[in-house]
Amino acid sequence: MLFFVQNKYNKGLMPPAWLNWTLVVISLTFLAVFLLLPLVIIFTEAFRQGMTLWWQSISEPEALHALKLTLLTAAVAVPANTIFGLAAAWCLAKFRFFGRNIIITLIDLPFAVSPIIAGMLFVLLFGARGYLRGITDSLDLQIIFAVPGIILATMFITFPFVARELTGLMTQQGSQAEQAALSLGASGWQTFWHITLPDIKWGLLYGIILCNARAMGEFGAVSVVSGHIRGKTNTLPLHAEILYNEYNFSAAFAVASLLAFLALVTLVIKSIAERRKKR
Amino acid sequence: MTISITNITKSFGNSKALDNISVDFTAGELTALLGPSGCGKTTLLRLVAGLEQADPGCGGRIIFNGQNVLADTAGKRKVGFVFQHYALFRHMTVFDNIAFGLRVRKKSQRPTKAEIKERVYSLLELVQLGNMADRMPSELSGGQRQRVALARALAIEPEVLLLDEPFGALDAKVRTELRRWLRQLHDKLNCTSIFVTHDQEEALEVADRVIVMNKGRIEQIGSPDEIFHQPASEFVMQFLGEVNVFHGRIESDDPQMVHFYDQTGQTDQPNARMLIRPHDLDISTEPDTDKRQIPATITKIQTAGPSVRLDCRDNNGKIVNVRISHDIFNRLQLFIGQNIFLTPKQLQIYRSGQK
Amino acid sequence: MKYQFKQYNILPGFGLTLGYTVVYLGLLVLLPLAALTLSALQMTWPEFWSAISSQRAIRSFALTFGTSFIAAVINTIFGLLIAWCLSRMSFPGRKIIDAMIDLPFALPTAISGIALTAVYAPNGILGEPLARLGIKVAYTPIGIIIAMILVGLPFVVRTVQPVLAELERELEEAALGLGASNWQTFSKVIFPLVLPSLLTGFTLAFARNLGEYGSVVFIAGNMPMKTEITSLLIVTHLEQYDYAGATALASAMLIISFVLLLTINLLQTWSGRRLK
Repeated sequence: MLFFVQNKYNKGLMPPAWLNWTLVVISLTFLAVFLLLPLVIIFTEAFRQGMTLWWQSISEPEALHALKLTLLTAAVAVPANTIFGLAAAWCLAKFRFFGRNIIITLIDLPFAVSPIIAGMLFVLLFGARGYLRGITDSLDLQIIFAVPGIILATMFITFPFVARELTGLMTQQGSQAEQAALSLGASGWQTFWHITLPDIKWGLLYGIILCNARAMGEFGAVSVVSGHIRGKTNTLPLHAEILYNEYNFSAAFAVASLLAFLALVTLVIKSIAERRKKR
Repeated sequence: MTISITNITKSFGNSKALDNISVDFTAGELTALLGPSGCGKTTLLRLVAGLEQADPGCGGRIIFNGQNVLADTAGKRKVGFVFQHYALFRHMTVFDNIAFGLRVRKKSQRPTKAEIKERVYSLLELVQLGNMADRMPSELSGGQRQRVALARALAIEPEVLLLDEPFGALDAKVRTELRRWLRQLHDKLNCTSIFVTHDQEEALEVADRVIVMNKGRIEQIGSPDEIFHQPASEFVMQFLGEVNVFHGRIESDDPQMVHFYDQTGQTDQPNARMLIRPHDLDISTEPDTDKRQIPATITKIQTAGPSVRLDCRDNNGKIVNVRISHDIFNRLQLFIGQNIFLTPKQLQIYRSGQK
Repeated sequence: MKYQFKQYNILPGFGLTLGYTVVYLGLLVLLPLAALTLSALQMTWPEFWSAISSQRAIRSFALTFGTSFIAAVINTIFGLLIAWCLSRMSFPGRKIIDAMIDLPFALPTAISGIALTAVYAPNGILGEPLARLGIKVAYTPIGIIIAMILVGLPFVVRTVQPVLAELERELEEAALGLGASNWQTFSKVIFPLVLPSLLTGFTLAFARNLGEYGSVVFIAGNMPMKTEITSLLIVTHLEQYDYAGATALASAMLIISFVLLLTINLLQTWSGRRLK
């Protein structure tokens, strides 16, 4: 092996070279087995039987429909959660008020609730004997086993991302700049657009990109509310699952490769946003 | 613009940052709000700016030129506010920072682009940063940022200029330079200026008037001379410089008849304190029965510095600080262990229980 | 006026943003949670008890909590090691690996599940050699643990890494200067300072593992009583329209995880307070 391992700082605790080597080799092996290998497998399996088959697998009508539904879900959930995140972060970061901690806890909730339970909550509301079934039926609206349910469940799972990221960032930045702008005569909106937004834009992008990744990839919650109706209520992850369970591995991995590629793009944008945010 | 504040109370939770404050600021004057941290001086400044709101129900008023502005927002009051840590907009150039207050105006009141440009450049000239228009705030030194913050506040042509600890975050040397510069600038601008500081030297040097605050109340208002030479309370005296404190007992109504011993057992129930500044003590090597003198022994001599600093021990074992000029020190040829006699030139007596 | 709902603040928009936040949270979170509560309250106690005390349910609880715990412990150990390497050492590719740590956040769980199964299945690239050694991974609890290790790892690394990076190097130099060995410096100075964040990371990973579904169902094999996690059992109940059974399991799961997280949080507050 040609690469070499060094202490990053010439200061503080500096373990001997052999120990550094051992630690890094153990870490890298662990990551290779648990992270890299599965990722590589996705792409090798996806392309094992050639580009043509890969293309066919992702361009057949059912796959295209799943892709469309996934994009639609993200297109609703991400903007909705972004606006929510901005509003929540503004009142949580800039103000101190009674009940603030309760809201913060509620925002953390989806991280603690299993996606299955999240999906189930909507089944209890809108399912066969759901509590709000009366209302939705009178509106002739189907939610469970239909697109609205998928969107709702996705929104539930993904709403904390932007709010959490921005609350932390905006609390840390304080509100001196906003106060300065207001004392110079700027209106509330002017202050938000010209002062707050430029200061949080990379954090905002970071939150949006994580929210988007989760929205497009959510499986558990969506699987409970979707009903797996092919060509109707299948998102890409659900489509991959069905193909896999039908032992149609190469098609399953073709769809998986699409989502894995999306994950890699997410990681790249995320690293850029993270680096810019730090400056 | 004259500013008149009456009966303002402001509390945070259960603690009162300002306790029924009333004070007037004369037009065109440069006033210092002086006090230890937590005394309420910054809160008072922010109240004037409209960045804080007085307690509802305190019935107070803040009057600018005869108009109650208590209900006006910060933007409406047209007050120039310079924040302690400058609060420059990090993502804007120096030019954009200064122009901000003009650009956010309603279209009908907004100056044209050319006018804005002219105004910004003349302000940059005024704060001596003519060639820095395109820099980002992160590329400036502390003193330069301070001046950009000032220019930004002045851009909206305020009649009141408020500065929160304007020199707090700067090096000692830059600080003294900026102090003098701020004084000159104020004289040029003809606006009512108020600045907050915890540094008594700064307040005495720069301000026309000083307001000393403590625990949400005003201790004294006066010219720097009055504050320094006629401190209204023990707090003011202590805050404005080093003092020697002697405990004693006032035995008659005649304040001249005070018996000052030191507290070590000799005085029953001391009820008064005598405060003397180190430079208000004369030294003689011989006793003089005509004067009230404090006999003491020199324990330490420090000659480095503009004056000589002596640590003396009086008969009760208390350390008394004395400052004398190098001339006197050389003439008296003082040495450690020498017995000397201290005569107060000026002193303040405060009864216990009196602030 | 002694009681104040909100301290005065010159910034505008409080009413608007708080109102929007509360309405959004109310509709999206509180309403569904109310449905769960209502559904649970409609059950009688014996109904509830029989739903959660069936052999199948108890086995699924044991499996879920057991595998989550083991995976979180492994995550904590290797998470600390990886965070150490990333924050204290320089080696080629460090930045790329640093970015890769977040892959499990970005990769849809179902996709990681399918991929892990392909790797560890008896005919998979690692599954085959392991099977020859007599170790069966896929379709056993080991497989479940492996899936959970994957999804839980970033939580530990990302909590510990900034703490390690910001640790004052002067502290270590002080310890070394006082004659401590490298190991003593690590175990007596660095480790206690990192411990609170390590506990936080453990808690987050554990919580995530408890609720994990997508990456587990493919590799678990889902045999009732053996490799069936609670989330899957809930899905089974839902598919049979047995909402009462699903509600009972879900509330039990929520309550147990909540109590667990609370305990660990208290523990963590306690250990964090001692450092202040």
